[in-house]
Amino acid sequence: MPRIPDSLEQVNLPASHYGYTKVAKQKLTAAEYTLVTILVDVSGSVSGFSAELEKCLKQSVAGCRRSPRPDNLLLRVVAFGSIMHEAHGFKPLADINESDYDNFYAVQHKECGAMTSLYDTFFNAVAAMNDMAKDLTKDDYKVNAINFCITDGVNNQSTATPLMIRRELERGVKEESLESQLTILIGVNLPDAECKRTLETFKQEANLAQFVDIGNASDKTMAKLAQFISKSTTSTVNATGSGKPSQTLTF
Amino acid sequence: MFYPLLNKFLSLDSYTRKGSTHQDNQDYILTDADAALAVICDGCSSAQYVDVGARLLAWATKNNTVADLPEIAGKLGLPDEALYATLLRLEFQPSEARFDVSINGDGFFFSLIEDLLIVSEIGFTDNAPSYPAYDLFKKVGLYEESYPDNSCYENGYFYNWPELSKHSQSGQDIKNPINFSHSSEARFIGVASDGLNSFVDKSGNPVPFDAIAAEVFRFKNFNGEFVKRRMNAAFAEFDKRGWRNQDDFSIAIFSVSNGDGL
Repeated sequence: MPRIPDSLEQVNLPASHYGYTKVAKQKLTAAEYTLVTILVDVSGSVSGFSAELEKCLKQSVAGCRRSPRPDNLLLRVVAFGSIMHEAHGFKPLADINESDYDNFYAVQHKECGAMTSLYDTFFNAVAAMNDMAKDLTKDDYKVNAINFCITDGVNNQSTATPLMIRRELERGVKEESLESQLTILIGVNLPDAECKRTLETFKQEANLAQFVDIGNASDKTMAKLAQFISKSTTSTVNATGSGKPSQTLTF
Repeated sequence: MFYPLLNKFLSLDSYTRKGSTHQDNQDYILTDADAALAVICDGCSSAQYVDVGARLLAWATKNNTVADLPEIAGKLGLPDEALYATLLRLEFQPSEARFDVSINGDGFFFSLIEDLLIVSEIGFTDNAPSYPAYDLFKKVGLYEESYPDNSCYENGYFYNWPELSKHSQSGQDIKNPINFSHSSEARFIGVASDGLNSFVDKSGNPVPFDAIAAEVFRFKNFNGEFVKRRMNAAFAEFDKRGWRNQDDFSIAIFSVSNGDGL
């Protein structure tokens, strides 16, 4: 289970082993929120571009701060390896410093281990979003969500399945707690075409909104990824309260 | 904001929505949390440029320059009728820990005290509310001659909290404008334009006020944008039922809490 920072509340999820943490509702003063989750692969193979990954994460958060409505964003960052570990739960951007992600790979890899529990982590992310949205909606908040998953490989250690993820996404839609939920799978530094095909299959089976293979993990590519994450988030934030679904962007 | 004399936090929030029969929203809300002030002005539907006039009246009220409005309107080339708007003002007096309420024209005042929600609807029998502008332009006599049988009334609606079940109802004739002070021993206190009771269903039949109140006042929390949250949810429900507000709807509310938003 993740270490609970003092200011966040722990929530257990019946269908997921891990649960999630979130800011207390009394601190949520706006009428509308976008829930943003960034899942980051910290398995052994990521070590080769861990510095670029950390920079990308920091630039993504900085980019989100420049969106027209940064106060309407709640961000959760989760690392995953053999198990998942919540770097932090849903909290306002104002409560996040880029320095919170210093040595991100080293810190999180130590918690998570070397394998890739992609499906378990993805399922937790979707279940947490659904649960958080339901809790906010019952108190009149309008909510939509966007979920990014950055990985360099395929799942090799999970009990959850793509079908479970698909069903959890459908549950969110059925319960009408979320105006919309976008899920974007991002492949970086994929080792081969087979890996890409496997992730594309995962995208289809889980009914994710988008799969993007961004290629290598160079400085330039990761900076472009950070821009993609912040622009996609801004687009989703702008759609909150409109009743319209948010749109995927082209990388 | 925390008020030591009250030993409580005040939150102020508001919401406005154009009526289905209007091209422009002729209501204007001005809130100032630092000054603990809420002003709603509702322009006369049959007059021109009242969307501008309502804004001018609200800002002049805040800055105590209402007497200058005829000159200001004249310099802007606006006709007198642009300023034909009702004025609802709600202000917290920190030194005396009380709310001052002023209503010139029609509209609503409401407060929740312990487990009773009290809603006062102020109206005019000929649907011809008095406006501060009549005084400003010395047209009170003309107004009274035009509507000799017009009188001001107050309908009181009382609801049990939090169920919002009907407790009782009352009615009486009153004088307008209305000025009074209200105790700060309220869970929330607010004003609204007469659009609050202008809802019709798909067939155009009036929706009973009790049904509207049951959604509008069904607050789940009182922190931050609590009025916008509740009104978004209430109007989503109204949309599902096919109900629409024909007149512009505006509401401004102070919540009085321990700071936990509950």
